[in-house]
Amino acid sequence: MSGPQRGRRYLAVDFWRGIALLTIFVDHVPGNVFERLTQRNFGFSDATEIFVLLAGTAAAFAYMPRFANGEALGGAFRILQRAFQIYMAHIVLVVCCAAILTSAVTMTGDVRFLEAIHLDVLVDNTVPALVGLTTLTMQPDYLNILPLYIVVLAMAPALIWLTLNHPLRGLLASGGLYVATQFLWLNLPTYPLPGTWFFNPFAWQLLFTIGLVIGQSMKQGRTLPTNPILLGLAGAYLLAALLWVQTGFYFTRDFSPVPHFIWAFDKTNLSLPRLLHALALVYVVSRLPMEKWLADNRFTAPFIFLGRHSLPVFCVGTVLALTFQMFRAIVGASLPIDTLLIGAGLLAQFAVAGVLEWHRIGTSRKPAIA
Amino acid sequence: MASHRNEPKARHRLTAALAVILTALCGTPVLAGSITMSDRCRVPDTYLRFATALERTGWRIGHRSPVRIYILGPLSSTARFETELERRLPGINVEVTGGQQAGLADDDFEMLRTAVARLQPDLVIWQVGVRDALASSDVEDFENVLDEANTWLEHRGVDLILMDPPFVPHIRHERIYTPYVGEIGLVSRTEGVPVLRRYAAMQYWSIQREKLRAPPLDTRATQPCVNELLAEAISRAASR
Repeated sequence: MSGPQRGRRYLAVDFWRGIALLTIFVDHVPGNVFERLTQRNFGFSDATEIFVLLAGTAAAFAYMPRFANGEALGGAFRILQRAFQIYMAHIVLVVCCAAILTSAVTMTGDVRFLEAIHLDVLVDNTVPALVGLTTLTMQPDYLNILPLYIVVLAMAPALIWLTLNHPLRGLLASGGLYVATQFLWLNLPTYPLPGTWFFNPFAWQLLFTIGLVIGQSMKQGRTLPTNPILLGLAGAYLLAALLWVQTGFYFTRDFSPVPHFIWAFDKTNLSLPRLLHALALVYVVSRLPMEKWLADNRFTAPFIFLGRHSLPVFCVGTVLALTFQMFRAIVGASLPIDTLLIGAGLLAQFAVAGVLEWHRIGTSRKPAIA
Repeated sequence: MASHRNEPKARHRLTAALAVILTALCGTPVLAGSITMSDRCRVPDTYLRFATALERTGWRIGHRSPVRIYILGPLSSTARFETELERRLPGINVEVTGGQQAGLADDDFEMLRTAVARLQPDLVIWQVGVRDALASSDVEDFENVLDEANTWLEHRGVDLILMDPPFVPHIRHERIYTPYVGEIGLVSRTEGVPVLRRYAAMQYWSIQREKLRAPPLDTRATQPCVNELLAEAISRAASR
């Protein structure tokens, strides 16, 4: 990602975050016809990987300068403040989604809606569920990305400190935790339902750290050189993944004693094929002259606004996606309904981002925080 | 993978759908002779019989070895299920762990693969169908995933029980669930995969209540009965 001068906000980072948010929204209405067009149909990784990696990049822009200026404590405080803001957003989001689901259940009598999203525990076991909600250990489906983000942000001060002047040290420490997680099956527990987190923060922190290193390099005006061999390998890997996914090929063999994470496609623990796919994609896309194109093309501005206001856009998208899931189940799924719902959802998110951007420009010249 | 079955599939599918409707209209009158099923949970014997034996689970029980069970799906009562099973298999140490569903059957299969690598269970119980019904997934794709998962687990010598969606009476959009219930039944018949016919059993309880002019079936209150049903069916299959 090359092009802009130092100190400027990178349009490409916001743009791709915006695209990732829209993709997450479309994927969160499973079965809709437009779901076939999203990233996960063309390779091993999906929008979550891109979102987490770019969250690391944005965190490097927003917080690393403080750490670099010797204000590590202030920087850490800002990060934790942001983590708390996301925590509050998560609580509100779960409550809103629970209200939507319970309304749908009341209207139709179909209690399977609650079970499908794992919110039945809130109705059946309210007190433990509230404990689970506040401790982030109750993880209803589609509402498990923000807990990952919160925990990774809580780890961010340490990751930034490790990465700041020694990117390799940061990557080694983060990679070490990733590998240990894969071998020791480390993860956080869920409560009150038994199990572990769907997005394992100990594994996903690696992608965030890689994002930090990328962001730090961009901030310092350093870019990855175009290496023809690396580019060829990345392109070949993306092509192989595309063919693999399109043919619906599954492994029916056990590659033990080769560790599971090397050959599986496990999203929970961010297995290697998924991680490499996301990195290959980022490397190939970063070769494109995105900054110039985005700066010259004002029609891309709405996508940039989405990425700039990622938290409210994500929350709105999640609430709408869940509402639309219920709507499709009750009314029936068809191409016109999918077009109407997905179109309305995308427009609503553009509108939210547009209003927030208009408000931001009107009240402050400061860039939005990551 | 199952191209040789393509021709009779449509007929199977039609039969499966008819079976779902017929079960709703007339429950089989022969009740299970088991004394361990509580009165309110009794069902026709056919609902307690799996298409095939649970080889590994049966072998472990026969050798009085601990049995590890992994349940994928709604997990609100895994502890009660464990108790029910241990009551039927005295002296056998049963360890039940669970994981939340990842999404559609396809995503769940990926989750199963990781869970099997991590926990190495003897038996996997997969509650499947509700999410795909809500999403109106392609029924053919749904069946293919179940086939693939069955083959994959078979290669590892892990037993699999599919559990079809729960039944809720008087739901206007009930039609969204029946194709998936039928498809799970079809996989059971063509591939010999054990299926706990929860949908049919709950329909049976619902009809019994209607006959007695009792209030309609409260689906959420039937979970203890589903636990009994599952435990009873496993203990019978394992002792074959």
